[in-house]
Amino acid sequence: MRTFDLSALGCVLLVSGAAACAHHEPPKELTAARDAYQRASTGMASTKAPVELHEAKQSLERAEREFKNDPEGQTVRDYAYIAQREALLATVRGNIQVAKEAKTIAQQSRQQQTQEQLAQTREQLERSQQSAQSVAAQLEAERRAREEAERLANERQKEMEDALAKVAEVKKDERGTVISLPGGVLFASGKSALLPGAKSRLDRVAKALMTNNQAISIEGHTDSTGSAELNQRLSEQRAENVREYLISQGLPADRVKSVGYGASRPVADNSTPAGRAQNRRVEVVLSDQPTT
Amino acid sequence: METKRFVGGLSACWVALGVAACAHTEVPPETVARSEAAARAAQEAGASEIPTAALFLKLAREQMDEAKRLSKKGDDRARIVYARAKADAEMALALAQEKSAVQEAQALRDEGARNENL
Repeated sequence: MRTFDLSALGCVLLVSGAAACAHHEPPKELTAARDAYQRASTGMASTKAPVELHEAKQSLERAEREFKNDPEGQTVRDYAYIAQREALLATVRGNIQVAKEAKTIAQQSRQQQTQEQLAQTREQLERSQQSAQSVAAQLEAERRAREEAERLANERQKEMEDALAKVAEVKKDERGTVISLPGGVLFASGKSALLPGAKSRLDRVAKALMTNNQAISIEGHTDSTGSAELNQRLSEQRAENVREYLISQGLPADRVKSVGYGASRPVADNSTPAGRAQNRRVEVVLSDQPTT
Repeated sequence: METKRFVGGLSACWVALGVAACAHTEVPPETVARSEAAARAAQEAGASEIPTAALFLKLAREQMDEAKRLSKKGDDRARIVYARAKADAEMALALAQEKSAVQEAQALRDEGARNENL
């Protein structure tokens, strides 16, 4: 950073050969140029507009040379005028550069902000997707659990039916599952008390029904022999005795009911002994609506 | 920053009046063109709308007119006056550009400040 002397000496060679140096006041343009360069070189221009600053320096040096050469001439004023403009130019160009850099920084920061917002939004989207996935996974798990429960229930049902089929005839009709026990195995003719041999068979029925939670209806049936009134009472009593026995083996009382139908619901022809034997029966009906 | 001196065409010398042959040179066309281009650029950048820039642009134009006059007269100073005009035009342009650059930077800074407060 050069400082310029305010007092520049101009020398004039006289015709006589003697040299006389006169002290010349610099023209106002040169003073202005020096000031402008001083300010420019100590400001941002040195780093932000170095090329322009260098050009201003060279112009100023040209003006200084001319001042030494012809301090009172027009040329020094012209050179100084240009030098001053160029120094100002360096300052202004420096300001422009600073503003551009600030703009770039602000743009980058805005980009970063946008990117951060974008990242945030992506994160939120991911999280909501994850929770949607976990909900879907949960629903799927529940569905599978239901399917499994259904499958197990069906298995148990099948096991029960298989177990029952070993001791009785099992069929399905509009009432539900029907376990048919022949009357001759359970009761003496015309009696309603359970024969000793009946109990082991009924034990196995009770055991098979333990895991079942359907409503149980014990239906007593007779053949057509004898009075309807007697048959009704006999079928009711027999059904009730079977019921009591099954409850005594552990089936819940509120799930088991008994009813007698007398001879009103034959399954076979009453005119043959075989048919009459078939009609003399107790049916354990498991209805499809489970009790709660 | 000495520019080359072009020895273009010679303007009319006052030989008929017996004046010694004048050895002045015409202003190179490039010098004129550069000055005019600088003034145009400043105008297009909106210098007339900005007070300080407008002042420099006015000076540039006045000096270009003076330089034309000097050039017609055959005055050698014409060239340097074109150079002065160019320097002023460049100042006008730079001031116009400075205003835009500062405004843009400020606008972005303000926007950034607003977004941060959201």
